[in-house]
Amino acid sequence: MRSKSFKFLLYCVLPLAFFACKKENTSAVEDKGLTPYNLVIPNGFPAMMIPSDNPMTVEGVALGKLLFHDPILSGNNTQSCASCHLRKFGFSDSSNQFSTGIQGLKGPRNAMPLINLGWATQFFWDGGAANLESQVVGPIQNPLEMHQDLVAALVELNAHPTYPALFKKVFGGTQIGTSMLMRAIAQYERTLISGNSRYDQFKRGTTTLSQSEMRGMNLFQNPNKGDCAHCHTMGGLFSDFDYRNTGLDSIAVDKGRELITLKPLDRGKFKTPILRNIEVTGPYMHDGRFKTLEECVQHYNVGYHYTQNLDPNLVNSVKGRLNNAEVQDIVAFLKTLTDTEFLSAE
Amino acid sequence: MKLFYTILAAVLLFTACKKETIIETGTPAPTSGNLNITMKNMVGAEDLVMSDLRYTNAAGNLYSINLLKYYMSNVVLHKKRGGNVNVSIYKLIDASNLSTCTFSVGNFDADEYDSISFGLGIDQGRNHTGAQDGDLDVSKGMYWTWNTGYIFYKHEGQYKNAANQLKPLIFHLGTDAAYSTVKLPINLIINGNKTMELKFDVNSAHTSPVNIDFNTDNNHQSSSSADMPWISNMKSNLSDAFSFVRVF
Ligand code: HEC
Ligand code: HEC
Repeated sequence: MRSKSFKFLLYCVLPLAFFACKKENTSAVEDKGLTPYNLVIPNGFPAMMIPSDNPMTVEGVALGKLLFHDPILSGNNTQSCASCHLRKFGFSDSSNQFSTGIQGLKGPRNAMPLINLGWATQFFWDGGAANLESQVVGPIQNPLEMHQDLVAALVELNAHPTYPALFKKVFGGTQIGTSMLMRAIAQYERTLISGNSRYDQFKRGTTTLSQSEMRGMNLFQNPNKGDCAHCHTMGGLFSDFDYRNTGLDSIAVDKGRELITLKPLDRGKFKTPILRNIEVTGPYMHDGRFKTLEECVQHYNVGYHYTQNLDPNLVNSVKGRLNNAEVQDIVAFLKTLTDTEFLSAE
Repeated sequence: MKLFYTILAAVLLFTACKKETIIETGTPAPTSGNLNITMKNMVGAEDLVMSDLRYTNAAGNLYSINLLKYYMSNVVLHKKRGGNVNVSIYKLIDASNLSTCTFSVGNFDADEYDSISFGLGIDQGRNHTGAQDGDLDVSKGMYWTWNTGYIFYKHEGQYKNAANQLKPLIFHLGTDAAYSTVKLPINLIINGNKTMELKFDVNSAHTSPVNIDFNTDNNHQSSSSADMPWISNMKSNLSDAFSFVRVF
């Protein structure tokens, strides 16, 4: 009798006492019968910060992937996230300068690639979305994109034959809510990791780069030549995640970061893009104005305007510092960032 | 022995989650009561009537209110004898829907309270993510998708301009810079369940301390540096557009 009550205490009550206060974490995830998702972080990348209120689970990621590809989230059920974000183009929109929404309307900006999003801290060209979860409802509601009323989207999801059970399994609750939709898609987006390009293999010592690619890599980093690494930082991420004015226009057409901070000093500044898979994500820049990588490099070499908020790094650069062969070398280096495994995965 | 384990188990279970509680020794166990707040949305001395071109502000503009919504948050009740009680709450008031205009703030000790403070809008800590529930659910239509953050105060309607033409009036107030704390003297004694009525005067939001003329300010969505002066004017106007009415 005595040992029985002791066992009861040991096996039933004590664990209860410990779990009673637990916040969401891996074992809480397992308690709900969910499988923690094992993110594989490439060598040389920093750890990814996962928000504590949205732990990654196999079930959550699978649900997010389903939603990402499902036109149910658009106003007339014809367009999904994947309509503008295609894997083979690094999750950007083929060769379209501006993507077309469900009503045939085009937005003012080039669709961004969705790569290594888990390391970025703000989203959109101007960083207007403060986290990945918050970003999700932007395209759904945008009249130029999927143009769906959120309340209507939730009604549709709640009436769907399979979604309610899938959401309940991952998030609990009785109704599908907006925050669940946001969390599921964000979980899937965090799995879109590219870190196995030829450049990465070279860093790991498993492949070699050509002479031209090697020269390009050096020029990319050389402060007196490309000076690209100043903003597109070397290492894993190729972005400082800061906002910079690269002098694309003498008078900014798109106010960029100013739209978010409401500060004129931020006019014409945009988020430094990560250059991974850049070979397939064209056209380039926030408005897709350049079709080729040569044009991009030439912009930094000779094209930029001495506009009001031009980044100091470019103010101090010498125009025409790269000859044609050097431009080609930098382009060759940029193409080593193509990760065919990532682009062809399921 | 069995009893010992049972007690031990019970103690473990109940102490496990305990937050710090302050036990005032020597005073009898206080009674308490639930407090509801009821918002009376008015224009001057009149109860608000939606979608009627009948109001005149201090600048002399004739105008209407087709939509009026705002967030009240982070209520603090100040005790007359010192000390406050803070309640983390995020409540969306929709003037066209009376059921949203009365809400429970929670249970309070029987005591005398002489002022209330609350946030008009959403504090910085909660303003930068949309993955939230309840009144902060982004499907409530008070959230900017292109610039993560909540619309603290939304007034849409029409006004007559200087040339006597009917024009749209759009005020969407938000961003961290717009968050204000409203503090009001009140006369509240909790000795059972109570309802406290507060008044919000839309005209006052356009009047004191800064007169807002719709001929120059009629479409502000807190989305450009040009909106900054209006944001700061609205912020100071709103912080004294509320007043205490009564407790019952
Ligand atoms: C009609 C085309 C279109 C659709 C549909 C679309 N997007 Fe986008 N996406 C864009 C464009 C254009 C941008 C850049 C917008 C900007 O900066 O203002 C973008 C940007 C993004 C970004 C920001 C990436 C970064 O690095 O900052 C994310 C994340 C994203 N989209 C996810 C989604 C999700 C999730 C969906 C589905 C719910 C979706 N998109 C649907 C066109 C689209
Ligand atoms: C001052 C910081 C800075 C420097 C230096 C810089 N970049 Fe950029 N880069 C940016 C920003 C910001 C953008 C986005 C600009 C926009 O769209 O308005 C960008 C865009 C690009 C793009 C287009 C990316 C896309 O997804 O559309 C390429 C390619 C690129 N840069 C390559 C380079 C190369 C090569 C160099 C060196 C020759 C370089 N950058 C130097 C900040 C910088």
